[in-house]
Amino acid sequence: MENNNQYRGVWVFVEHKGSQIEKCSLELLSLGRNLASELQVDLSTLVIGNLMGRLSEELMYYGVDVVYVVENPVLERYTTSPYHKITCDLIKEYRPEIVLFSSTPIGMDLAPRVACELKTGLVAHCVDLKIDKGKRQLLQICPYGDYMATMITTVKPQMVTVQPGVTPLPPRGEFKQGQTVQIEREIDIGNIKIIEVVKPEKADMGKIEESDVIIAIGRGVKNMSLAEKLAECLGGILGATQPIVDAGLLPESRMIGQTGKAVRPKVYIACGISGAGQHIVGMKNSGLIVAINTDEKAPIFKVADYGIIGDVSKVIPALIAALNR
Amino acid sequence: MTQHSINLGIMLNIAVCIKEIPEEIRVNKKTYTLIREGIKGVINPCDKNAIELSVTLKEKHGGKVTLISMGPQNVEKTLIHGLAMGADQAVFICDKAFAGADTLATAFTLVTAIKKLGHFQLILCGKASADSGTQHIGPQIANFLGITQVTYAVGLAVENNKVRVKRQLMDEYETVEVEFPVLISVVKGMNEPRIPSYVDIYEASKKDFFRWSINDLGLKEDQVGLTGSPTKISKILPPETIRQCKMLQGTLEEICNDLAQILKT
Ligand SMILES: Cc1cc2nc3c(=O)[nH]c(=O)nc-3n(C[C@H](O)[C@H](O)[C@H](O)COP(=O)(O)OP(=O)(O)OC[C@H]3O[C@@H](n4cnc5c(N)ncnc54)[C@H](O)[C@@H]3O)c2cc1C
Ligand SMILES: Cc1cc2nc3c(=O)[nH]c(=O)nc-3n(C[C@H](O)[C@H](O)[C@H](O)COP(=O)(O)OP(=O)(O)OC[C@H]3O[C@@H](n4cnc5c(N)ncnc54)[C@H](O)[C@@H]3O)c2cc1C
Repeated sequence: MENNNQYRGVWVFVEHKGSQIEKCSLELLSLGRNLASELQVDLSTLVIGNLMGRLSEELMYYGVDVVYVVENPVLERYTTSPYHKITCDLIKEYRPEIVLFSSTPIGMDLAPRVACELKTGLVAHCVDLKIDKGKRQLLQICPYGDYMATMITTVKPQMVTVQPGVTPLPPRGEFKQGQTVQIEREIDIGNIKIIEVVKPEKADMGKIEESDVIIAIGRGVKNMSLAEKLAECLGGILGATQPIVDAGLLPESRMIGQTGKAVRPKVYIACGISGAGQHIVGMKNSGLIVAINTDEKAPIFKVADYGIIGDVSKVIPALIAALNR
Repeated sequence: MTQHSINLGIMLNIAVCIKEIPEEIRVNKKTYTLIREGIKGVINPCDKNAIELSVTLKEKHGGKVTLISMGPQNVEKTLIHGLAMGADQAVFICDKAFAGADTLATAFTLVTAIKKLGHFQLILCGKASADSGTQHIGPQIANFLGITQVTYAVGLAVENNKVRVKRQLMDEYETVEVEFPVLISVVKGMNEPRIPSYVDIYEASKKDFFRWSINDLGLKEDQVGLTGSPTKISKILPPETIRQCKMLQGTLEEICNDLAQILKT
């Protein structure tokens, strides 16, 4: 039986693109900093890639104590096998008690495999993390059906993936702090070969996160063109719940929530949306939230600033008329 | 060695992991599990795509498709549906001891069954279940078996004993080439799952169907289910009230005028 107490410190797995730190990883630093301070341990980051010098330096402005760097030209782009091997080896060697990943295609490819290799658990799509100081235990908060669950992992390290977009970005400090530790490794790239990478022509993907106004539609909306008119009127864009996307009414890039995207527009109008936990994690940080629903008990009202109890097919045309007055 | 494939001689032995999910997702506040009583069980959507893929590959290259599912109650109908789509045999893993399994314990149990069944070149699963949706099971199975994984598959072709897979990532598609054996997790909508006829379903009920308990897998209670799971639920709470919601009152016109004012500022 291994002694759980030998594990110390908080680690963040850093994702990057074109030598820029991904936003989701900065969000992890802000969670990680809090956890590390509460536990009075170091916050460390793991950076795997090629020519990571500038990026590692940049990380030191975000309250990181140690930046572990593994560099090699063959690590330029993520592939499972070498990243998995390096991550597992370093966790086994340095024994952090907590390791944070993002719920991104890379994080979700890597973290479950790493957790499995280390024979520990993994909690998916967390929206908040806290420490139970007495037990020195990580409290992993994630959506659970129409509830929110607090999960714990009884084995070390405690590993989670965090939903991107729900944690505020950390402030960039004025001065660098901490140290960089360069790690040399023999690298086996495994039997996977990248043949090509293509970006779809439609620049549509990604747009919804940038829009200031989102009109989000759920199953209560029967007439899409009404919602579209409202979006037009407010200079916004349509977003949707999962059932709307599953029904093929809007593309996947417009889905908001745990499976879709986390957004924080200035104005979010939820039309005919019940407010399931998996949807709320993607929109609760919006500026002004308005909900329109026939059911006064719909949970969406718990996260709204203003509510209208009514039928969207009547409220939307009336609202458009009022806006045009 | 009686039945060589006339096409390429690869003869793919394929395992497909499928999960039955309740059609409606509600949580039992006492046991923290999903309520299943009185709710229809359906096959997890992307698992249908995985079955379709396996059957298409078998039709093209020859081989055998085995369905594997672990579940708390009789998922026979779900497995029969998969058999009717063209799979050859099904294994249903069911035992009280498996209840409350987290993903690590689930993957471990599935892998024990996979190993008992023999060697597979290809193991398919869905990207995520529609009820809990962790996306963990694929990579965990691959790690337990020590084989390569390819997640988020939207397209796949087998050529010269290699597999080419197109992966759907955040804002790009990546095509990779891998060797067998490999685990591939597929995205919903990657293909059009066939709808079996009544005759297919009738014929399917005659195919091999195995039901395995913890003893059949040679496992001990502390390796599986809740006791074999490193993650535990400590509590569940309804979503908190995050904002004080002001309900707009009055006639529809008044309400909309008020809201228009708020939106304009
Ligand atoms: C693992 C997992 C991941 C998920 N990920 C996501 C995700 O990323 N995003 C997401 O959105 N969902 C997600 N879901 C699904 C989520 O649980 C809910 O099922 C979904 O958000 C409900 O969508 P809805 O609000 O459109 O539909 P419903 O829950 O059916 O709500 C419809 C609402 O419309 C109201 N209504 C009906 N008619 C009218 C009318 N005429 N006028 C006004 N109101 C009306 C009803 O009162 C009701 O509140 C996920 C689920 C799981 C299990
Ligand atoms: C709301 C909720 C949240 C949860 N969160 C976590 C968590 O964070 N961490 C954790 O360890 N456990 C978690 N669990 C427990 C976990 O859902 C179960 O272990 C479950 O049996 C497998 O996980 P999944 O459905 O999320 O798998 P996913 O990885 O999402 O499923 C992907 C694919 O794996 C295959 N598969 C999955 N389950 C089976 C099965 N039983 N039989 C055959 N094939 C299967 C299917 O092909 C499926 O498409 C959660 C459960 C619930 C209800």
